[in-house]
Amino acid sequence: MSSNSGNIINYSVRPAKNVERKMIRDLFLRLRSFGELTNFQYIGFGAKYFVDFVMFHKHLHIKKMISIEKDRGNVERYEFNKPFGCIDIKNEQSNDALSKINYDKKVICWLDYDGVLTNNVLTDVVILLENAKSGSTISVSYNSHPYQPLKLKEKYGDDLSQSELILKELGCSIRKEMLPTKILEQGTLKRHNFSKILRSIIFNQIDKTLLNKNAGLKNDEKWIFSQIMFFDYKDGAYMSTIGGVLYQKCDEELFNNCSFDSFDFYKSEDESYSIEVPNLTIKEINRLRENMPLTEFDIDNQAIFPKTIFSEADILKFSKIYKYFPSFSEVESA
Amino acid sequence: MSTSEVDSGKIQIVDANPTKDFFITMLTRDITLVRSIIDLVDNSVDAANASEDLENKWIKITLSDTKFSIQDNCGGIAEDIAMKQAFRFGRPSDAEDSIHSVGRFGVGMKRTLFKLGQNFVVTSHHQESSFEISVDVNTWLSEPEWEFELVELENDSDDLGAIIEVSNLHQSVMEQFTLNSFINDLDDEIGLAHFKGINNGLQISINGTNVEADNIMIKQSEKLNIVGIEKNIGGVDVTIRAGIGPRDKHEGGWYIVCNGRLIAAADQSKLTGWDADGIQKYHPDYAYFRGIVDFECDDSDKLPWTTTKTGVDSDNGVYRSARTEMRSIMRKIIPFLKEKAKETSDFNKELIGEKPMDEAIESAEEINIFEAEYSQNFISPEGIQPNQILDETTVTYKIPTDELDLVKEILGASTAKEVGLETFNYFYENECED
Repeated sequence: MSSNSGNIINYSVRPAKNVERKMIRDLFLRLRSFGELTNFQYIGFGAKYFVDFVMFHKHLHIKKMISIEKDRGNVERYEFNKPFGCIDIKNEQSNDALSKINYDKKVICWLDYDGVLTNNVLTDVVILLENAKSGSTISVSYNSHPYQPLKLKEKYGDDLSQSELILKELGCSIRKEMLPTKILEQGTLKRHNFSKILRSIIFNQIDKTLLNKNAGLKNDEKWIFSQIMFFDYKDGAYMSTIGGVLYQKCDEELFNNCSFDSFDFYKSEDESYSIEVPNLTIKEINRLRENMPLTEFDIDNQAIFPKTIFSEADILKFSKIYKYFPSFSEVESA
Repeated sequence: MSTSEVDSGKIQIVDANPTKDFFITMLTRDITLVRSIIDLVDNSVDAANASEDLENKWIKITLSDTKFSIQDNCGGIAEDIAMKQAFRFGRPSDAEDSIHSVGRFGVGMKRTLFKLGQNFVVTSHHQESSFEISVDVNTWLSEPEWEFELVELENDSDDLGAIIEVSNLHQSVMEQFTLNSFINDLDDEIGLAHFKGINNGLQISINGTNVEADNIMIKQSEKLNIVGIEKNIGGVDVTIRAGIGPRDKHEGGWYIVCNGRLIAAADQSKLTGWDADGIQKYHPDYAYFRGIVDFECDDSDKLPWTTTKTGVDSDNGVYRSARTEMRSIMRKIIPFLKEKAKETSDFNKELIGEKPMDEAIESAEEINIFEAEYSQNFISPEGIQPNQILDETTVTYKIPTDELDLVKEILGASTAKEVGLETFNYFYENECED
């Protein structure tokens, strides 16, 4: 969304994000149970590269696409870089843009923030929960890098415990009522644990919003948000993505028919799916790919995977994501 | 203590009956005089609504330092309602549902009568029967029974309606009734509380002067519209409308109406969604905001009002669901008002030469919000972006004065600004430029 991250790196060459994007595509494809995907609208932060827009237009055939772009300084450049005519760029803050969007169509939404989790992100989630139709998906990505205790001590003093320091720092960007009342005293510097804390904040907000929205509704009208993805990954900074489907109780069968749980990367609880892309050469990738799906016997087969070339960890990492493994090659155009 | 004297196991009865005095004191304390009079108006309006035609209905309130009366031609009180409900303290749980009513909790009329004075007479001419109840409060308080005497009257009146008269007014009531400001307050509050009824033809007068409806006005044009939705939430019909009204800091906010009766006016608090979940605190920039929520239900128990009808019951489920919708509508309008404030400031700084948003508001027609058409989306004019090149930034910071003075002296600078500029340039030249 911000012009800054767009200047640093082209989104398409972040390998973990590349894998994640394709996994998300496969999850979104299952939403067919709720209706033709061409009739959904996609909302995202396309920046200058529109990588997600290209993928979802090509694979989901979505025609109504909205890219939110807060940078008002380079309007023409964003317009110029639109890969398809059906993309409508809203040149506003995401809170404002999301408030004004017409929600007649079900929404497929992936808000890929490059910053940390803030009130703004939570407000975006609230706006979508308030407005989106049953069968919509809401997903957000954000920086989930754990805090560094020495920096926090420098900022807040030595007399606070680690959990107090973390809560204090979180309180700088997140409304107090959404913070967990208690977090673990130890282990919160581990990325997955810290990511769990951030997830709990998002769900505090989701739960509160839906509790109020549902308060006066009949049982079969009540709204449910079912998490379908929780990714932790790293292309430089640690990032996390949480996404789920918003539907009404009367549509529960449609949700069940999506069979999201048939994917091994489907995550509905607070355990994340970690995307790790091993660093491999094209020749190595080819050898690995030829031997997928992996059998237990193959891992130890020296003839196929000589230990001097393939570490067991890399073989396992590759086997988890080989269907989504990015293939980059340099293309030079005159 | 010796146990032999205790007749163990003997059961004694402790008298926990409330005294009438205590009950009346508690009852009359938690409502203001103006509000308690509006409770009587509510009853008349309920009776008028039951006949479905407000056009020729009137309610006349007369007050002086000796007497209070309210008279209406709204249909009167049925005798069985009077016998079983109207004069009972609290509404019996097996009471029949009074369809689509405002009166609800079975305290209103009695509370008002006790609050006003020592003697009251209620006379009713209903199509089925007529009756009169006359009470001397001092005598009633001295009797142990919780009863009133109802005298049946010959049912020959052509004008069906009720008359309530209170005399021997309490000292404080008498004093307030003589104040012009009190009459004005009452007039304002009735005009606000029953603006819907008055708009529909009901006449309410105080000492012979008609109360004018305090309408909520909204701006409408091709460039500026009203956002609204209708929804049935848990059996309650909810209509929400919001848009841009005349700028008024005190009148901006949400108005909540239950079965035609306004229960909250210009609310600017968390209760109506301000200052929560990403919506900012109410602020003078939002003084243009007008929103109205209409809750309508035959079963008035489902409506989100408090017993004094002066507030919203924020725990009510229907209300909480409705507030989600209210928030969604506010979020469509607030960005426009923020842009509008920026437009004014940009214009004053001469960064832009036109004010299309302001002009759209000024030129729009001002109409009663109930007469306005509404749609799901908010139509509003786009603001102009100032053609400002953002290649300069102002920096301000604080440093100790003695240090500044020293640098000033060394530089030979005469202002703090000069010091700032020179020291920055010095750093930039020596540490940044290649």
